Amino acid sequence: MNKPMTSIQEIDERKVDELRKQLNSALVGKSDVVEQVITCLLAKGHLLFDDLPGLGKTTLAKALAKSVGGVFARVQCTPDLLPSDITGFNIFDQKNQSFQFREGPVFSDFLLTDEINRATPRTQSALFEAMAERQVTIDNKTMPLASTFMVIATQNPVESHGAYPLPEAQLDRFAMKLSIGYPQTEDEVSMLGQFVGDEFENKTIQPALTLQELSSLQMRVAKVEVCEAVRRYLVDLGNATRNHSKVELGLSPRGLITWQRIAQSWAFLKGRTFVTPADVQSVAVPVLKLRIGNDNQNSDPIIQQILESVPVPNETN
Amino acid sequence: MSQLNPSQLKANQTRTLGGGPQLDLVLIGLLAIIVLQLFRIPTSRWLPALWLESAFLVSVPPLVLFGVSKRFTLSQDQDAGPSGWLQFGVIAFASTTFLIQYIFRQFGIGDPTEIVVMLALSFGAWYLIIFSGLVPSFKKVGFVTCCALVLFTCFMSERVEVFVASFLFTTCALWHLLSNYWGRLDDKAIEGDSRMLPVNSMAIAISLAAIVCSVTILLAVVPQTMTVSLAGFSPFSGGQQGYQDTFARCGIGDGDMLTAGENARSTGPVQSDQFIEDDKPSMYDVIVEKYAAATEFKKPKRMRAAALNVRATHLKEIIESEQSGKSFSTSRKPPSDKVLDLEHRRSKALCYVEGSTPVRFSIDCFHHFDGWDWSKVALTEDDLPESKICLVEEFGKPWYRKSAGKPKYITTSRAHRVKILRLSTNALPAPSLLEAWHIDRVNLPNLFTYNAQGTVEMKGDVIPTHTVIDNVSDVPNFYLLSKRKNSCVAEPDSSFGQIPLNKTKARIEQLAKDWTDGSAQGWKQVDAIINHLRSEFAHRPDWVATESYADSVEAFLDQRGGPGYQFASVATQILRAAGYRTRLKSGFLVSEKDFDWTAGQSIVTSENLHMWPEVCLDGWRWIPVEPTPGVPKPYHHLTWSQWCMTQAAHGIVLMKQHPILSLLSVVMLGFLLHQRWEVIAGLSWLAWCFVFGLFPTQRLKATRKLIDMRFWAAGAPRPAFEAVSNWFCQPDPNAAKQFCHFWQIQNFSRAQKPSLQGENVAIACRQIVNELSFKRIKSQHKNEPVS
Repeated sequence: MNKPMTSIQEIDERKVDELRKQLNSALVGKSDVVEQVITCLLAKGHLLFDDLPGLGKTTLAKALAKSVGGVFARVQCTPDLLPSDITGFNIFDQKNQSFQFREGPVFSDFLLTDEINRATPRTQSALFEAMAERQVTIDNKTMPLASTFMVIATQNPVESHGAYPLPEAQLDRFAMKLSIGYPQTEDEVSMLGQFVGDEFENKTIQPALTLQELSSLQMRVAKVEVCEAVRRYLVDLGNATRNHSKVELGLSPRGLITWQRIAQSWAFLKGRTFVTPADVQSVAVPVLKLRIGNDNQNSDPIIQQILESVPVPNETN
Repeated sequence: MSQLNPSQLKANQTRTLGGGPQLDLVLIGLLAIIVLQLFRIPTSRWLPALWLESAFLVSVPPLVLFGVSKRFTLSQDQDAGPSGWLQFGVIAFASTTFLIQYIFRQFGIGDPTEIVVMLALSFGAWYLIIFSGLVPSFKKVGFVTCCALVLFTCFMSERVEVFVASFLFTTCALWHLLSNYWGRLDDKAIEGDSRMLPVNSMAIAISLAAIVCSVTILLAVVPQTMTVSLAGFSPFSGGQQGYQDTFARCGIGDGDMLTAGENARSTGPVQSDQFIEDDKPSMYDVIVEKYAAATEFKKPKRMRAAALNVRATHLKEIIESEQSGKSFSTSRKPPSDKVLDLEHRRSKALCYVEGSTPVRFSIDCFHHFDGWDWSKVALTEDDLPESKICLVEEFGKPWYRKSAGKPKYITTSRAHRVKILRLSTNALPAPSLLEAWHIDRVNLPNLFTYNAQGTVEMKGDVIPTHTVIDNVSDVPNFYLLSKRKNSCVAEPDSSFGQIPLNKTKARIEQLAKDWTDGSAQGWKQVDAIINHLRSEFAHRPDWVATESYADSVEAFLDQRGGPGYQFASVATQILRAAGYRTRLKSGFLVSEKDFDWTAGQSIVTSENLHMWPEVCLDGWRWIPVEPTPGVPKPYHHLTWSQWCMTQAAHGIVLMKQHPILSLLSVVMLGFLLHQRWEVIAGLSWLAWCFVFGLFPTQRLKATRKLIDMRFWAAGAPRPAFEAVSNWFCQPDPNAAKQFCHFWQIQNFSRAQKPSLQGENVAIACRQIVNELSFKRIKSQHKNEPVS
């Protein structure tokens, strides 16, 4: 860039670079996914991985938690998982003769809910409040969660046996839906090399950010400028999803807000302090896939059609 | 090329400045010399001398000067530069032109003084250009001098080759100026000056005023340059030895020495023996000298049975009639020799004419045609001109003036001065559309009258020798004339509508009908007939009608050509058949080739004898027309705007006539444009820059449009849904990165927009314009078609 950057910007960039490096070393050959994960992280969004088992979903989530230096928690969803297993519960302490609250896995910075579509809808909905408002209410007592709380859910393709599809309301609370996919041959070869000898287990991953730094980055992302032309463009795209014949339920206003935030985060990662239509387009697929995706069909062509139906703003004045 | 910084660019420029002269400047200097030499050709006595002189002056003095300057720079301090010496040398060598001319004059092949001055200037400019590499200030002086010389020469000349050379010169000069100017613009752009043009408001105001003035003048003035005599730009042309010098200007004086008395202006000799006075020819002699005698195959036939004395009387009548110019036969013996250059003509000067050419001086007027001979008839009262000749005083001089108003199609007038030498006639040599005339100190009220044919003649047998007549004649505007309808139809039995009643008549009428079909009634039909004759028939001075034809018109039509008088005769007949009042005029056509450069006037000999028809559309004025191909059309007035409209109308007609050809040309042009799209795109970018102003925001906008246009031209137009940054980065992300960055800031960031800096924006725009060229986009697109 020609213009000399301010020192804060430089520091931010360095930190984000470090984070990127850490995650890339954990998940080899998937820099685009890593970029999207970081985008989601900085946008304070929740992630949904839709992929087959063993592709590195958990690895990535754990690496993320470790590199940010937060508390990592994990829930393995099964049909008999109860809501209290996630949120926590009050238990009577015989010594003190009082109820004590035992925190569930939501009281962490990163919650990995594995195979979320195997949990019953009741359990799934227990995550609603936590994800949307970052608080949980148990026995009329509301408890705040960490400000950096992030849910990274994974789900197996719905054809798998014994799965409950996520309700739309639940889906809307996620920011992005990502698929990691199989790695390239060369990447796989080098990955295998890493696992020879000692147990790997993310030992090389060092915290790149503190939670405070993450919060400040998230605040800065929220301040990234979105000019009227781009906002209008977003609204036009939203309308296009609502008017598309193959989309059952168009984009909700909450979905648009999420999209805008994700685009802000993407622009921030690109070193900019404003959002361009190109940013909006870049994050369109993971954002829209979650919201307009019909489980039975590939939603990429529909998203492409929606993007092509709206002209981008050129000169704004 | 990525980015040139200003210092690199300056270094490049200084490199070209040092050492030899700029190549384009050398070409400009040479072209200026060539233009002047071409201008000199008609006046030069010995052509090789002209080129020898040029070759010598172009090559030798610069070599000598180079030698001097080399020696000087070696022996002296380098920094001082050889400019002082060189300036002296340039002046010294420019003066060698005068020396050479002086020598040439001793051999009688020199030039008039004005030409010598121009030569000295042109060679002076040439030396300046040659040494402009050593002394930078020479460059501008040499260039400006060359331009001034060429401009002046263009004004003075009417010859095509001079204009062609001048055109080449202008192209080179413009190229030179543009290349210099671009250099400055580039500098400014790279330095990031948002005001790319180094001009201030005063300069803009002055140039705008100049443009407005020139356009106004252009639209108002006559496009044809007149042949301006040397007297037009020089108040003197004496030669070195007063009146005795061969090169002294000796033109038309104030008339007869006896009449003019002490006011005679000049009496010196003229360049040739054409001035020698001897016998005074009659008009018949003049005609015979030009066209040869009329054949008499018809007349003896007619008189075969007549008695000897009857035959003798008849012959005498014929001869008298011919000798007095009462008739003109269109059947003649082939003339013995060809048309010659002025200096090779054996015939003697009949009169001198000063003023613009081409001009037609009419002497006689014929109305009746019998198939072979044109004869004069006495016009009836109705056909005679209504206007009277009156004597008025203007500017303290007595003037004879036709008392008539002016129709709308007369937009200007011009003046000529005629000096009668051997013209033995009492008819006033009057230019077409004569308005007024004047002979110094002659103020007799009834000296001039209309004769039976309606032309002006002087009382007495002949106009005295050395009489100088000043003429003022009207100039018609053909454009306004073409808007005019014919308001007086020629009656077949009238003097102006008569056609011989023979078998050719039907043919003439058919031709008249065919040729005028589709043209609007009026001047356009006249023009159509004349143009058909000019384009479809050949001018053959030696083709004559033979006995086998019914009349000379049939002979002309069958042979598809003939001598000039046949053209005039046939044109008159066809115009009459089309319903236009027409008469046949005989007289002298003075064109540019008759101009004697030494004397500054045109010389009229029997070679100038010419015949032409005159048409009357309003019953008032007779407009001359010229049916003979290769002979200049009558002088007329046409403003530039009228000229443009006429040409446009012709173009449309041509396109309608050749639709396939037009279509092909359009396709060709389209193809060429497609191939050279980059040029057009570049030009339009420039235009955009000028239109939008040159602020960073507008520049970004213009550049975005240009690149979009290039993509479009390369067959990969940016879809409406594709973001600019994505699309522009496809062929080369690095080339477009900077630009996209600024473009995005401008359009999507209110906060950062004020921080956009003109210089950076200029560099980014230049980079993308340079690097994301049309060819590159196209090749990229070919290799990896965009989905």
